[in-house]
Amino acid sequence: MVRESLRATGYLAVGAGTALLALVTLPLGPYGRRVAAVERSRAGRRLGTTIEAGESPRVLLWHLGHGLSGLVLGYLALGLWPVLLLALGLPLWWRLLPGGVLLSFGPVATGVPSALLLGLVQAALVLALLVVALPRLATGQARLAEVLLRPTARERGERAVLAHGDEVHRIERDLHDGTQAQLVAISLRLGLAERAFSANPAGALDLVREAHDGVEQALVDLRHLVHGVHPPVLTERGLVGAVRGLAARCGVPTSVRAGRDLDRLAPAVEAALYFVVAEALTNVTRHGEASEVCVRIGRSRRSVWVSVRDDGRGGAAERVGGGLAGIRRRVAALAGRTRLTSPPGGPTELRVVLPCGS
Amino acid sequence: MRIVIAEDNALLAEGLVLLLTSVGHEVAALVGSGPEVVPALLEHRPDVAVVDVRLPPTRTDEGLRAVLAVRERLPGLPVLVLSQHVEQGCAADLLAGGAQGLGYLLKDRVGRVQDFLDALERVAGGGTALDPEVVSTLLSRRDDPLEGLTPREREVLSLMAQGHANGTIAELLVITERAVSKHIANIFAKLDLPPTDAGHRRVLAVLRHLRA
Repeated sequence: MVRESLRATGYLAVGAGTALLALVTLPLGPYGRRVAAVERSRAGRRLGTTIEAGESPRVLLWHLGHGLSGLVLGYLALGLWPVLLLALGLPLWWRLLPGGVLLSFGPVATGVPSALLLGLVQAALVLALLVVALPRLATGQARLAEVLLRPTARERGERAVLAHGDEVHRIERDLHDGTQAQLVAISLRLGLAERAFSANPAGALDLVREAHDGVEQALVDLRHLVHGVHPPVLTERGLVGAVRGLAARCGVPTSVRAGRDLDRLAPAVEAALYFVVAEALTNVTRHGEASEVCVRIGRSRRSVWVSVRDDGRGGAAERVGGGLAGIRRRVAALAGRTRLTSPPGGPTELRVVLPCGS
Repeated sequence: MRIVIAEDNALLAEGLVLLLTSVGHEVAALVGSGPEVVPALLEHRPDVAVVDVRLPPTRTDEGLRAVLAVRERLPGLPVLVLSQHVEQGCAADLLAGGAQGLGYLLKDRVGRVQDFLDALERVAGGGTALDPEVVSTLLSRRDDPLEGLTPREREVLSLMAQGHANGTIAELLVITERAVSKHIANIFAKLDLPPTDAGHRRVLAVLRHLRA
């Protein structure tokens, strides 16, 4: 309990620092961006999520709102602790002031018993504030940052379009530089073999063998590529069946709970959800400290969500360029949201919500 | 012939080297990225260069731009451009600087080894080798002025636009060279083009007419 209060105090104290910086920097200027980035990352840590960078004019509201409230909250958080100490020490020092000590709520300490009593009462009140209010205020400050500093729905939509374009481009490049080039190289070898056939049959045979190896390699690569775009198992067994397959192969016992109406989703949505589960289960197995995993999939009228939750030690962090970053990109391309919650001590939950494409 | 190759895909580059050396050509240099193309061509001055349109770092049209740049400095340097797909804009950019010693082929064509080597020879000799797909798109797009042509004349026109000489056209269509000459004279008359014999000028005239 007290540790929570101390953490909240630390959070609000740093918040006073960012508040001061927010007041003296320009929103969306180079320094303002840096301040906002700091705030996003610490608010994200407090809320157990990652806040993406938004660029809308709402950032101005954060500079004003956080700038003013952050200073007050920081002052309050830092000021309450000395008040607590003073209240507990009241029996020792009440004599030092002539005419008794006026406490914040009116009564005056005039002797040791009343000083003791009033000191305890005041300490209890301050403690209650520290324990109950401070963590909530800190969380409130983080929420303010989350709401005002994250991308708006429109920004997310625009980014989704861009991310989708990147994805299409990546696939085109893989086909172009991979499969198509392989086929040309094979065709070239067969052409050479044809030329060499009468004069040098042994050489021609070598070329045919090389071409054969090339075909097999091209098939393997093509299979991987297709899997990366839309795993064939989804077509064959549907999303739930495919996820059950992943669960059965996972090294940690995994249960799957699936809701209704999950059999007619858009292929891109299905594939994204499948990869979310695959990536999450890979991570669970890799860190190897969980004893069970629960995968849940459900849908509402407009969206479909998946949650992968394990009972491991928690503290999972997202690495730049890691598998989770790839998932986030893929989800963003479909205008969805990814949320990783992993407090120290666990549990870890990866939750993805996507708009229904069906 | 001394040849410089610019191709970033290792499999294909290796195959091209294998093909060209096996028929007695010399590969003077093999480069794998756009910025290397111009220096390599200026240094080696090959008899012909084989350049892929898409090269690193951007993998967009680095190769094409390098070819355009180098042909500005060494006009007429024979270059055979290879592409994963053919595109009219690309062909137009290349042809804007003249069709002499210029080839633009789909990568797929290298599998037809003999045709590819013939095209390469033609380009190295100052001729033209345009992919049949480029030509057929041009022919199908502008069918109005070609309406008066007989099917045989269209075939001849198509082969001519690809850069083939009369002899080859005769062989490909299994007719006599005299018949080819007659068809060509008819085509030029029907399209109202001035008669010309030099291969690349003929190609240019035909293409200019089709694009007009």
